[in-house]
Amino acid sequence: MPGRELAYWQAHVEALHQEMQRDPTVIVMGEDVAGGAGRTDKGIIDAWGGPFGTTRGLIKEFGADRVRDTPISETAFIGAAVGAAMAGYRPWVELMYAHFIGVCLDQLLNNAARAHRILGSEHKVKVPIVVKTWLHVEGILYAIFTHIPGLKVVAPSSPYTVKGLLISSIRDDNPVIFCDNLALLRMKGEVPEEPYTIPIGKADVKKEGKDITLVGMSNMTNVCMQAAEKLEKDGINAEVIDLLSLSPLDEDTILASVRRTKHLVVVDEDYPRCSVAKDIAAVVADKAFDYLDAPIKTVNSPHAVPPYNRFLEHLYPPNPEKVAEAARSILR
Amino acid sequence: MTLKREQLIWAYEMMVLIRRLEESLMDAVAQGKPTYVGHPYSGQEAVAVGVCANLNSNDYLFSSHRAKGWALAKGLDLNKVVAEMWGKVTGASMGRGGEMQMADATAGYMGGNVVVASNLPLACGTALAAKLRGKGQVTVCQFGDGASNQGAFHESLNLSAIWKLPVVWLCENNRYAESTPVEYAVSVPNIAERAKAYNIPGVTVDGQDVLAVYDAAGQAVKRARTGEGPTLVEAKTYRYYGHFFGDKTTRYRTQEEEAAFRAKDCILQFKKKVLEQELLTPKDLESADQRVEVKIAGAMKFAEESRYPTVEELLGDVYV
Amino acid sequence: MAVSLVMPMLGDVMEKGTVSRWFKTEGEWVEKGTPIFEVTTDKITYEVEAVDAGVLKQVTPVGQVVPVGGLVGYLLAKGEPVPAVSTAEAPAAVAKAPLKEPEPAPAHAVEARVKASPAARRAAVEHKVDLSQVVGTGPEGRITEDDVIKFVEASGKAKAAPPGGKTIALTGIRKAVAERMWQSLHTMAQLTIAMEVDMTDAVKLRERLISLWEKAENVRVTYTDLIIKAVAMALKEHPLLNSTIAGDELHLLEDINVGMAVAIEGGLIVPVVHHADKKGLLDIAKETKVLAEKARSGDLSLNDVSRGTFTVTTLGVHDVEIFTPIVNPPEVAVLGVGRLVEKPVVYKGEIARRMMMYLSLSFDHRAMDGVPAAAFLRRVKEILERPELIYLFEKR
Repeated sequence: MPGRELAYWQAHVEALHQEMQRDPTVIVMGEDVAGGAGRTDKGIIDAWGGPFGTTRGLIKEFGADRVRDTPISETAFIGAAVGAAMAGYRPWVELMYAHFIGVCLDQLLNNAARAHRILGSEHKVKVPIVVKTWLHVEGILYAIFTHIPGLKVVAPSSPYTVKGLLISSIRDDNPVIFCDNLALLRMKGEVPEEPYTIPIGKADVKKEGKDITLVGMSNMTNVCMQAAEKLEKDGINAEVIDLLSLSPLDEDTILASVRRTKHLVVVDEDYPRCSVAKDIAAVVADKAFDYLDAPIKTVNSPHAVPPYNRFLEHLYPPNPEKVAEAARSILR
Repeated sequence: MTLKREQLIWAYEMMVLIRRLEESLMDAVAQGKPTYVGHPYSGQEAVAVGVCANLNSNDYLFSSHRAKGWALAKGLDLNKVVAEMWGKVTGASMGRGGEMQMADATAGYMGGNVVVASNLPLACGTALAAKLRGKGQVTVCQFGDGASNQGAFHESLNLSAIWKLPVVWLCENNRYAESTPVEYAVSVPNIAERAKAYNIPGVTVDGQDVLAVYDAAGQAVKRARTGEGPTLVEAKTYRYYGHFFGDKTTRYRTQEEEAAFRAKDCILQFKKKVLEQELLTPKDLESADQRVEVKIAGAMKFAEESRYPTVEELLGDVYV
Repeated sequence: MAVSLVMPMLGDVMEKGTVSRWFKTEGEWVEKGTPIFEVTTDKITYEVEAVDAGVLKQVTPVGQVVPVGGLVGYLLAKGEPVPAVSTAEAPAAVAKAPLKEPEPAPAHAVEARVKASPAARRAAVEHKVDLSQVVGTGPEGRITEDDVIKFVEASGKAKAAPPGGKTIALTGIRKAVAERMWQSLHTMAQLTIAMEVDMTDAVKLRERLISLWEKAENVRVTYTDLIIKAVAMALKEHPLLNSTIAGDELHLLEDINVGMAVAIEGGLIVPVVHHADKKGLLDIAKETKVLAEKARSGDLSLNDVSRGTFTVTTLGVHDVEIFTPIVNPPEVAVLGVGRLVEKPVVYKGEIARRMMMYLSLSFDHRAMDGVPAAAFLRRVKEILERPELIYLFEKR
C-alpha cells in the first residue's frame, strides 16, 4: 500500500499534535502560534496557526493555556520557555526566523545551554525545550547554534524527517534548536500516521555511492541529491549523507563514508566562515586525512549579505550545479 | 504581619551567617587560601532574609550577582555554598558554577546569573509553569538597579502582567550598577515607579529593615500565590564593599556616604529593635552568634578538606 | 652568479633519473670538470661533471628521483646566497651527456615533490611503495590510493614475505628493471608466438666463420650475432616490428638498432648494436664482444644502451626452450632465443638428427596483428635456416 503523503508543514503539525496528546507537559509558545491570541471570547480562534501553519488547529484541541500566543518579546518568551522547562514542562517555542536570534541569544547561550551543567549537583536542572525556527536566505545561521555546547541542533530535510525529528526533539531532555527551512514548507512526501522518532545525533546515508561523499543538511540534502543525479551522468557515483543533526555531529558516519570514497564535498547554505561545512571539513582533515585523495570542498553561500530581491536570491545559495562542479573539480 | 520568636532568631542568625561568610572568605583569601569571594553581599542581608522568610521550599527563587546570601536564605546548605566557592566537588554545582551559577532545585533556589537581567525571563517561565500546575507556587526574581535598564526587565514585566504570572520582581537597589550611580542611570527616583508602565503594583521599601522587607515582600508573595499577578518590590539598600572583592569603592563613593549607611546597618538596627521591644534576649543573640561561628568554621574546614572535581567531572555532562 | 645543477637528459627516452650519490659534500668547493654527482637511470649510472667552479649547494638528497631538467643543486660563488627558486626560469643544463648534445631543459619546470593524495601516501607507507614509481591518474596527475593499490597488485608487492623468508630490496638496476617490465606489461597488449628453427646449417656456418675469424680477427662469432643479423635483415623487410607507439600514432623507425639483453649482477642490461642492418656479421660480432665485456664491467656508455628499436634476449644456455619475453618499451617487439639442441626430426622425408631451436616473439598487439608478426618470425627462421643469405650479404 503506498504511504500517505503530507506536506512538510502538515507533518510538523501532526508531530506536535501527537506529542501534545501524549504528554500534558508539552506546551506551545510563540508569536501568532494561535493567531488573534486565541480570543475565544470574541469568536476568534486559530486565526493563523503559526506564521506558516505549523501549529494550525492546536489551540482548538488544547486550549489557550497550552497554545500560547506571545507578544513580540523574544527575550521574554524564549527565556520563559527555558524557565518553564527548568520547572518541569516541555515547551515548544517558536523563534519566527533564525536571524531574530539577535534579540534573544542570551537566553539560549547563557541559560538554556548551561543550566543543566551548573545548576545543582545531585538534582540537576533539565531544560527540555524545543526552539523551532524558520531558516531562509536572510539568515541560515546554523553555526551560531552549533557553536554552543549544550544545545542540540537538528535540521530535517523532508516531511518524513520533520515529524520523526520533532518527536525526538520534544522527548529529548536537552534544549534542541529545531531548524526548519522555509524552502521545504510545501514539500510533499510519505509520512507514517503513527508517531515515530528519528535519533538525534545520527546522520542518514540517503544514497550510497563509491566515488565521492556529498554531505548536506536541511534543504541542502535535496540539492546534494540533485547534484548526485547530474554526476551520475558523468559516470560519478556519489554518496549523499543527510546530516539531520548538526549538533551533536555524527562524525562516525561521515568519516566512514569518506574513508570509502576518499572525496568529500560539504554543502551548507550558511555563510562560509566558521560554518558547519568548514567544521566538518576540519573534522575530516583531522580524523581521515590519510584517506583523502583530494582536497575537501565546501559549498556555502557567499560571505556577503544576501540580496533582498527574490529574483536574485537564486544566485546566492548553493545549487545542484555548484555542488556538481565542486565534485568534478576534485575528481578530475 | 509579625514574625514569631523562632522566625526572628532565624532571621538574625541568617543575617549574621551571611555577613560572617563573606568576612570568612575574605580572611581566607588574605591568608592565601585557594577560594573566591566574588561579589560580597555584606550590608544587604536584610533584603534576602526578609524576602525568603516568606517562601516555601517549593517556591522558586532566581538570584543574580550577589548570590551567596540569597542562596543561603533560600535554604541552600552552607557546606555546599562554601565548597562551591572553593571550587570543590562537594559544592552545590560540583565546583563548576561558583557564586553565580550554583543552584539547588530541591531548595527552589534556581541560581544566580552572570548576565544582568537574564534571569527575569526565566522567572516568567517558572511562574508560567506554576500557574499551569496550579499549586500556588511563587517565583521571586531578584535583580539590581542596573537590571531595571535592560530590555529583558521591561519585556518580562510586561509578559508577567499580561499573563498574570505568580512572580515577585524584587529589585535590590543598592545605588550602584558596578560604579555607575543609580541617579545617573535610572530615569525615575524610585524604580518601583516603573511598575506603572505595566499596570502592576510597585512598592519601595527600606532594605536595611528586615521586618519592613518581610512585610512588603509578604504582600507581594500573597498576591502572587492567590493569582493576582506580579508585583515590583524595590528594596533600597547599600553594599559595604565594592562591586567585586577588591574593587576600591572610594574611587566612586564618598566615605561620608559609606559611613552614613553603615550607621543604619541592618543587623545593628535589628538587634536594637528586638532588644528594645524585648522580642529577643541578649542571650538569644549571643547563642545565635556562637552557632554561626561553629557553622562557618565547620563549612570552611569541609570545603578545604574536600577534593577538587576531576577533569571529567568539570567538563562532562555537555548534554544530560 | 649561481649555476644550477639539473638532471641531465641522458638519452632520447629518459624522463627522470635518481641522484644516487653526491661526490662532493654540501658547501665544498668544486673545481670545473670534476664529478659532482652520480645519476642512475633505468639504463645506466652516470657521473655528472661540473661545467663551472663553485661552492656546492645540494638541493636533492641521495635516492631522490628527479625529472629531466629538475633542479638538483647549485654551484655558488663564495658567499653567494641560494637563489630563490623561480619556476619561470628554465634551469640551464650543465651536465655533459656523452656523444650527445645537451638537450635544452623543458621550459616548464619540474616539480620535485611527488603529487600524491594523503590516502595514496598512507597506502604507499603501508605497502612500502616508492610513490615516484607510481603514475598518477587523479586531478593534475595526483597519485590516488587506487593508483598505489594497482601498482602494488601489479608488482606483487602486496604479498608479504613468507615467514622466515629473505627480503631483497629492489634497488638500482633491479629496481629499474622491475619498473620497466611492469610498465611494459601495463601499457601494452602483449602476446607471444613461437616457431622452431632448424639451425643445423647455421651451426655449420658458425663453425666455418670461427675458423676463419677467430685468429685473424680475434673474435668468435656467437649464435646471438647470427640471430641479430638475421633479425636486422628481417626488420628491414617488416618495418612494423621496428616501430614505436606515441599516443595515437605508430612511428616506423628508420634506424634498425638491435639490443641484446645481457645478464649482469643484480639485473639485466640491454646494450645496442646500432644500425645492425648496415653492418656485416663480423662487425656485429666484434661489437657484441665489446658490449658484453663493458656490460659485465659496468663500463657501458649511455650511447651503448640508448636508442634500441628491437631486443633479442636469450635463455637458451639455461635450457629454456620457449618463453614469453617482455617487450622493452618503447619498442614493440622482442625475440626470445631458446636452447639449441640436437633432435630427431623429419628432414627431407626421413628422420634425421638436426640442431633445433625455438624462437619466441613477443609483440605489442596494438602495433600489429598476429599475421605480420608471424611473417616476420618466419622470415627470421628462413634466414637462419639458409644462413648463406647472411653470408651472401657479408660478401657484398
